Amino acid sequence: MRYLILVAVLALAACGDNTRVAAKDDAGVVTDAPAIDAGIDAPPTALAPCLDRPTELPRPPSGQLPCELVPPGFVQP
Amino acid sequence: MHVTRFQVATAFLVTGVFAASTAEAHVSIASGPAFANKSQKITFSVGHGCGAFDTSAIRVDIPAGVTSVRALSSDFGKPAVTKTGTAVTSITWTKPAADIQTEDVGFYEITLRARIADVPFTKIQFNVTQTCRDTVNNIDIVVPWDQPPGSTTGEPAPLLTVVPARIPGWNKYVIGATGVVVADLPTYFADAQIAWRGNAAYSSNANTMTLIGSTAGVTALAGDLVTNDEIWVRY
Repeated sequence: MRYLILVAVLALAACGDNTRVAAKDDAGVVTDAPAIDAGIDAPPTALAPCLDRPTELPRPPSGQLPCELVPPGFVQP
Repeated sequence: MHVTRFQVATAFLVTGVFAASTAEAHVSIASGPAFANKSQKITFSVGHGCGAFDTSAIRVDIPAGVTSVRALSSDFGKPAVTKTGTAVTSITWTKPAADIQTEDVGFYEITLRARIADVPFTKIQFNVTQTCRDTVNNIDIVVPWDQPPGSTTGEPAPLLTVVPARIPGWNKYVIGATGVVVADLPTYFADAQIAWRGNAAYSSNANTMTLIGSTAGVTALAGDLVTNDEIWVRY
């Protein structure tokens, strides 16, 4: 019986924790954690080829060649 | 005085001094670059006649590397073909006499279909002979368009630019024996988004060239492409 009570308490505690984490994700504007897709629009650290990404929003001009125009296997010297 | 002027004008025309007018609108290839190792239609445009006279016939000599030739009918009518064995060596389109106009107001196109040899990044010279009919003096005026690039005499021959076959996206090529001089990059890569050799790139798009110049580790392709150079080209 004690064992069942302990399991129930742990289960409740786990549910409460999940709820708290979800609330933190929804409040992403105030968190320090980076957005999941923050790296896509950020300037690349090194020029490298990529596949076309036609479903993405246009990126602002970076002043550098877009990765779509970099040939396969290119390594920036 | 009037007669003298007429005689001078006639002499001027009959002696074939048509270069000034003909050179302004060449007999040229209007169908654009051809793909290497492919069959395709090649269209020649005839911008104008000879001086004041209408074009009555056009002959196109078939150069080496151009095979499986078939000629299309045109405003001049049905083509006449000459052969050596089974190979077509020239095609002539001759307008019926009744269709020759009394002045030079026509623009003509003639088309043939042929297979181009596997010689990408080259230019094939087609020698063309234009004949016009002087309906005043009832004589033919013959203008050969057969001079290679750079010639300072005669009329320039039409040049067919041959580019490699391609698919949308990235294409890898190896430059052949003739190489590509840097001055011809705009000719061969006019419809490419970008072409690369190593970390040097070229684009016919001025905005892309600006990006090439401002990208770290990338230089503008400024030298000739030589035999066995590997290049990446995106179309």
